[in-house]
Amino acid sequence: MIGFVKKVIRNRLAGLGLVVLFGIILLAILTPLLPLAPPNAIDTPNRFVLPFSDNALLGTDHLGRDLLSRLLWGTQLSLAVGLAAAFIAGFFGALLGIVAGYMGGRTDSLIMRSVDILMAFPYILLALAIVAALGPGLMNALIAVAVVNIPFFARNVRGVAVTLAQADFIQSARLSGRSDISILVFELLPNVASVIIIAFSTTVGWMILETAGLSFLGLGSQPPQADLGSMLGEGRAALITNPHTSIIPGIMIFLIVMGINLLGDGIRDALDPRLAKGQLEKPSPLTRVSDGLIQSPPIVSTASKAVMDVNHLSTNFEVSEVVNKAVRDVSFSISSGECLGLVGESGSGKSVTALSLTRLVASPPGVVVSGSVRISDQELISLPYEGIRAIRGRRVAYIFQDPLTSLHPLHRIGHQLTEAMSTHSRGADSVFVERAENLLSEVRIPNPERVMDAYPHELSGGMRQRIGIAMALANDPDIIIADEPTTALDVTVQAQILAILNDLRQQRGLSILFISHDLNVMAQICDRVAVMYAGEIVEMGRASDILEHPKHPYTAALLACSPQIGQGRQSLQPITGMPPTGHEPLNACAFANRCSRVQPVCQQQPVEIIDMDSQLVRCLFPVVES
Amino acid sequence: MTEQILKVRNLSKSFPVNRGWFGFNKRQLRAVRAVSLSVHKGDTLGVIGESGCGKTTLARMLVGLQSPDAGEILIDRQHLHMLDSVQRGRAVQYVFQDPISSLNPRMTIGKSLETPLRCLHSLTSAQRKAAIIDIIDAVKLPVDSLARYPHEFSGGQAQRIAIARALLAQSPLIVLDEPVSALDVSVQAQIIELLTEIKQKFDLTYIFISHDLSVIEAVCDQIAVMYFGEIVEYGDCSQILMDPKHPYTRLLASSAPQIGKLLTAESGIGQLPDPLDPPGGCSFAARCRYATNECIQLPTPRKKTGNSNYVICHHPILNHE
Repeated sequence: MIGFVKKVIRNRLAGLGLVVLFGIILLAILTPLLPLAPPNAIDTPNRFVLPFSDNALLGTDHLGRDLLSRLLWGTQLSLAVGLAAAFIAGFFGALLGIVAGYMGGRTDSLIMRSVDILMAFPYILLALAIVAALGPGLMNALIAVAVVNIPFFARNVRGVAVTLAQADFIQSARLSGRSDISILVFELLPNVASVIIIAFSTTVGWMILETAGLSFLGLGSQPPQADLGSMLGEGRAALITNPHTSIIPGIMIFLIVMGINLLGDGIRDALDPRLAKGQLEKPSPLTRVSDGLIQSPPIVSTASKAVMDVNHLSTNFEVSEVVNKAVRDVSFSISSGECLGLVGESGSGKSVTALSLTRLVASPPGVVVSGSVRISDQELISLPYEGIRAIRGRRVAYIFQDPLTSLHPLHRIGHQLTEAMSTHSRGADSVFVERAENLLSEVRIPNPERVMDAYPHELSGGMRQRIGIAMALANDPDIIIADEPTTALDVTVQAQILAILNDLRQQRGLSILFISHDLNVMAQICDRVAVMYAGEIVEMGRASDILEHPKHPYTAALLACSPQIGQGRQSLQPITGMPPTGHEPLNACAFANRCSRVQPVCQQQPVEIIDMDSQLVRCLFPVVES
Repeated sequence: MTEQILKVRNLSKSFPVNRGWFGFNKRQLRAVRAVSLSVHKGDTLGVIGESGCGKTTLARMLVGLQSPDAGEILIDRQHLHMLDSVQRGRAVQYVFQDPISSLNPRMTIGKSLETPLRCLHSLTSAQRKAAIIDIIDAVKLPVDSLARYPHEFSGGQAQRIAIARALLAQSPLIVLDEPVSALDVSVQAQIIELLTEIKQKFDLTYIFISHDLSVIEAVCDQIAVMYFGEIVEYGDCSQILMDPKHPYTRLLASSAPQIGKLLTAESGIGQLPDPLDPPGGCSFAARCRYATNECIQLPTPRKKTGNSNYVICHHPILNHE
């Protein structure tokens, strides 16, 4: 609770709202105890006394009643009525919304269409009609305001309840034997509570205004009882001659509503998961590079024919003071026409490595802290934004796991392909269209002309990944970075995509950095494989060597626990324990705690990577086959 | 032979799809068609198929989360649709693919685990506590997990919790819907090991749904291969995977990547038929290299290929090629 309040007042204006509102509510509560004149005592000779007079601090009204006393009593009444209306509207609205969202079908249609009808009337007319039917009076005004606001709650809550009703945890509660009512109350309600509170905090102010509006029209509180609306109404006749009689209740209404709204915004920010810390910050288009590194760009010309050369690359995630070392001192190179596999489990740093290459890691929180990435002698880590832009897509292209997320849903495939080309080269549209169609047939899409006119959602997963590959090829890059390109696909489609990538490599001499968690897939396409664990490369070498004769215990364990086809029923040997988090520096072998070959010395010092029969291994006691 | 715990006859399910303005022109999207199968006590039946083959719809019908359009499900000789929610929960349980989303985010693990004990078995608070401690130990979770919330757990741990909840319902039959596909390989092996262990300990029967042939092979006794809503091949798991008789099973087996064997990719696009307009004959005919005219025109026959094995195909691959 205290944490929540802290979160709310982190928003300064919400804090201000809280203070103002707290003060007003305190005054309203203390009103009966304060030494005030009776609010309804008429003293006509002293009418329209100005504020700051001897007997009346805020002056008197047209009947000589003390304005301060009326103001405080009126505030108390207005707050009570507004809050009561909000509670009633919130209760019934949320009830209708939850039931409609959870039950679905006919019940949903019936409830929501009734709510829609209610919403079709202008709210003040509806409120007037209700008061006209029930007769004037504060109670009836309260009912009218509550009814008018039910639809707002119902619609908000229903929207969330509909999605939640299909959620797995609701289904499993049903399988655990919970009844519908029990699911509504114990499973669904706690999860929509924040929506109800947000809706409540943003409408209370509005409802106080509406109640005041009805009273102003003489339909709410009846004389001589004071509430803020009726005080305004009474003061209106003397607006020109004695403005203080209207200004004073007006200011009070303003303060209450402003306080509530500011606080409501703060509550919404604190409760809304989408607005949780930092997510609204716009990440920069380029991963930040730590200062020390940018001053000394390593300009070394390598004699190798590597297309991409990565040396001592390290990337951190820095959230306030917490540093998570996602990539630690990674070095590799890819030569022309070669496919290098980067394999590891989730959290091993393989994707962050891939994104760091063209500095695509979201910043904040990503920071490249050391290393260099060269593409034919051009250093990418120290390159300014314009330079990197010319590289991305042109020299280095990416293929992601789900192309649906990287394709624009509202543009046709053809448009997206030609647009990708026109950002990097000039030419006539017809040339681009022809090139795009050629690309589509190169990734074995039957009738490319028709696919050019399709939208991404009209295509199957396998077709979309072909488009993804065609997009990557659009500017004839030197190297393609494929991040789990077949993970979301069915095996039969996966086999086709792998075949396409393999062909492209042979025909175009394309280099591929292939990232996957699946060793079996690696075996299909990679010449060399680098195994990552806890942000480090632990083993690197020829694919067949590593996959068939692993030297690092982690690689061996990973292979032993992935089931193989054609082995029949088998017991797998799981790796016990969890990988280390990236928070602490590695003063030992990262795998030591889970390793079956561990020796005391493994826990005492970081392990360097060594060359063993043209295979790089980061292990003091590598697996040697007899 | 042990008794059958589950018997499914001619199960079908379609979903209405609104097409056109105002939802006139309603059409049926076929998800599952005429599926029959049976599972013996203590066995593990693997259901394999690619996305869109109807395996999840089948699984959800087996636990009553979806009601079939036609056909019947018998669990321990009782019709599933005759059971009330409590009896159903005691008869069969379900483990979801995404373990975190199957746990209420606003509820502690202890509370979530209590639910089946309170609602299905009406145990007292002390009995519930004892049962939970037992199960938490069986799935190898630390006891302090009970006071924590789902988001504090990794995928593997959360799947252990979900398995624990299914165990607490004390149903003899558990439907596992892709229980390991969201997990890393090393964690996947841990969960598979756990599933094997508790199966023996609590005398369970599994329906194991997966798209991964190697996982199915590692854990299953029987296998049902689904394509486009139908079972196309059924029988002993190792026999079928060693020597697939249906061209689709063969395609699946040859498409799964293996170390030391290069894949041959299927030519063509390999798409499923339109589920709104299913073909009259064999649904695989368009992709099948053995397809003839009768495959396209005639309903596909069921052919016995072994003890309990069968294949639904005009031209099963009977000889080793």
